Amino acid sequence: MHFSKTYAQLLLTLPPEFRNNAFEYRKLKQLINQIVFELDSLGLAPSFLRSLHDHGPEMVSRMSRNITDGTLTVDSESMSGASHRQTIVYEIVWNSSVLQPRLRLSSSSPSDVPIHRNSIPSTIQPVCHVNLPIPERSLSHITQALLHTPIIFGDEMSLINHSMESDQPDDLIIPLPSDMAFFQLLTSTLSSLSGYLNMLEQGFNPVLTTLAASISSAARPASSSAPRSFSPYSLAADHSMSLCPGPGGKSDLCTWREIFRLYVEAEVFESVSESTRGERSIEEVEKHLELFKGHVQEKKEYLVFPRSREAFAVFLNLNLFILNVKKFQLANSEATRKILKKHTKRTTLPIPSCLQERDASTPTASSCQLALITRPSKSLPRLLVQAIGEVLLPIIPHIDDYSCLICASIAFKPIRLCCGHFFCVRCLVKMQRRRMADCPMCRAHTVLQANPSNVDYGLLNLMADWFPIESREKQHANEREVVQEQLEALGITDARICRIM
Amino acid sequence: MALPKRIIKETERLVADPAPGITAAPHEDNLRYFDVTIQGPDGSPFQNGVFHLELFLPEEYPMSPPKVRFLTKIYHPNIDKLGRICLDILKDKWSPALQIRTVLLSIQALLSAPNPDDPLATDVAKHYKENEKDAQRVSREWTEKYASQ
Repeated sequence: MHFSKTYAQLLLTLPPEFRNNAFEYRKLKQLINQIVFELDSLGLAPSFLRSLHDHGPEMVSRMSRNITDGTLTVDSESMSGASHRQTIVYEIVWNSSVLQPRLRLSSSSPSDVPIHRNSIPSTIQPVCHVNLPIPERSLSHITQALLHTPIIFGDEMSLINHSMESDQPDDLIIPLPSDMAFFQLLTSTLSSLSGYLNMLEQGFNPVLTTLAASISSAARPASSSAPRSFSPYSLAADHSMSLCPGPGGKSDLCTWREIFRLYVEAEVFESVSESTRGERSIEEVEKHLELFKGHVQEKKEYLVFPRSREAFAVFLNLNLFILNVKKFQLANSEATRKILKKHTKRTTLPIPSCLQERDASTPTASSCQLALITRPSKSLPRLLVQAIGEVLLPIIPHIDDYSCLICASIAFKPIRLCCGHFFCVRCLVKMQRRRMADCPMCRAHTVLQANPSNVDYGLLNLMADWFPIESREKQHANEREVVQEQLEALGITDARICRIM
Repeated sequence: MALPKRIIKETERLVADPAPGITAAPHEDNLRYFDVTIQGPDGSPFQNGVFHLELFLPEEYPMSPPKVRFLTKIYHPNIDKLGRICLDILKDKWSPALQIRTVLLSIQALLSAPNPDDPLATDVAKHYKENEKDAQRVSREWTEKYASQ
C-alpha cells in the first residue's frame, strides 16, 4: 500500500485535532512532480542527472558545518585527475529564514579549490550542497537549455546572474522555485507540528496534577480516615494501639496502590527488563495496555469513592492519549523520511545528509538553522510517561521504598544505623548475634553500635500509616520468629509446638 | 521449612528478567539449589564459552554467602581444579544486601579481569604472571575444549 494511504488511514483513527495538524503528504508529492518538470525544462531531467552519477566519479555531498566563517571544505579527492572540470552543484542556502535550493554551474580549474568563501555576505550562506561532476560537453547542453527556457523563471530571471557571487564570476546560479516551495511547505509543516506538540504537552500537565490531587484525596493513609484513634509512635506510647486503623475508615489506598503496582508492572510504554529495555513499539504498547486493563478490571471494582472511579477513567484516557501522540509522532517522522526519500529518488538531487540527520547528537550552527531537523531531542510520549511517573505514581508510597534489603519484607520496625541506612529490627538483631559489624549497604562499622535509640520513629509512623496491613503482618511475623528462637534456645525444635502456643 | 520471602523474590526475578549472559534456574526438588550458566565475556579468553556452575543457598542465607562452584573446567588464576572460586564477596566481604544476581555478575566480571595476585590456582596464576599471552592462549584452548556448547 502507498504510504500516503497508510498515513491517511492512521489519521482517521486519531482524534480530529491531531488530523488538523497533520502532514500534507499529497501536496508535497505534487510539488516533487513540479520539481521534476522544472528540472526537465532545464535540460536536467532526472535520467540525465542519474547518468552523471553513474558515469562520473563518486558524487560529492558536502555541507558546511562551520557556518559562521563560511568556510567550505572541499573533497579534493573527487576533483583530482581532472585538469579542467565543470561541475554542477546542488546547494541549499539559508537566506532570510527561508531554505533556498538552487543549482550552481561552475567551470573551475583545480587550483581554485579548496574554495574559501569568506566574502559571502552573512545572509546568504550555503548550508549544504552536492557536487555533480559533469563531462565538459554536457555543460554546453545545459546552458543551451537554459537560454531556451527563460520563461520558467519569469521575473526571477534576474537571479541568474553571473556576478551574484563575486568570488566565482563564472558560476551560473539557477534557483529552483518548486523545490523552494517544497522545502517551505515541509519546514512550515514541521515547525507548526512541533508547536502543536508543545501545546499538547502543556495541556497535559494540569490534567495530570488535577488527577493526582483527586486520587490522593481518595487514597488517604490510615491516620486520616480515623484521626482520633491514631497516636504517633514514640518510646512512651502504647504500641499495641496505634497499629490498628480506626474501624469503618474508608480509603481507596490499597486499591489504588494495587492499580499503580499493576500499571508499573505492565511496563506499558517502556520496558525495564534487562533484555528488552527501552521504548516499546506501538503494537507492544497496545498489547501491554490491554494486559493492564485486563488485570485491573477486577481491582477497580473495589474502588469505594465515585471520584476514584472517575479518576481511574481519566487515568486510562491519559494513557490512550499518550498512545495516540506516539502514533502521530511516529507517522510524522516516517512521513518526513519518506517524502525526502521520494524527493531524492524522483529528482536525483541528493538531499545532503545534514537535512536528514535524525538525532541531534552533533548540534551545529547549520543544523540549528535548518528547520527541517528541529525535531524534539526527546520524544513527547516519553516526556508524558515520565510525567506520570514523577507526578502521579509517587502520591502513593511504594512498598519497595520501605522494604528491608535483607529480608525483602517491609522494614518494620525500622532501625536507622548511624551511616543513614535502615533495615528491619529482626535482621539487625540477627546480624548483631553473628557479630557482623559492617552495614550491608556501605560497609561502615555501624551495625554493632545500634541500640533502641536507633529506631526511626518518623519512618515507623509513616509505615504504620501508609502500610497498615503490611506493617501489622510483619510485626506478627517478627513476634512469631522471636518465640521460635526462644523455644530453640530452650531445646524445643519442633515447629509445631510453637504453633499450638 | 518454608522458603523465605527474599529467596522467592530473587528467584522470580532471576527467571523473569535474567541478566545478560547469565541464567539461573532452581532445582524442582530443592529450591535452594540453582543450575547456573555464565557466558564468557566478549574480549576475554573465555569468549564464546558457556560455563556451568552450581549455586547453593545455605540455611543462613542471606546472613551467610551462597556457595558457588564451577562445574565446567576453566583455566583461570582465581578458579581451581575443583571449580572453587576465589572472590572476596563470597568470603569475608559478603554482605546480606548482595544477591544471587550480583554474585553471578561479579563472577562474570572476574572472567573479564583475572587477578593473578590473589590466586587460587597457583600454577595458573604463575603462568598468567610470567607469560600472560601464552596463559590466555591456554584459557582459550580450554574454553574451546570444555566450554563450547
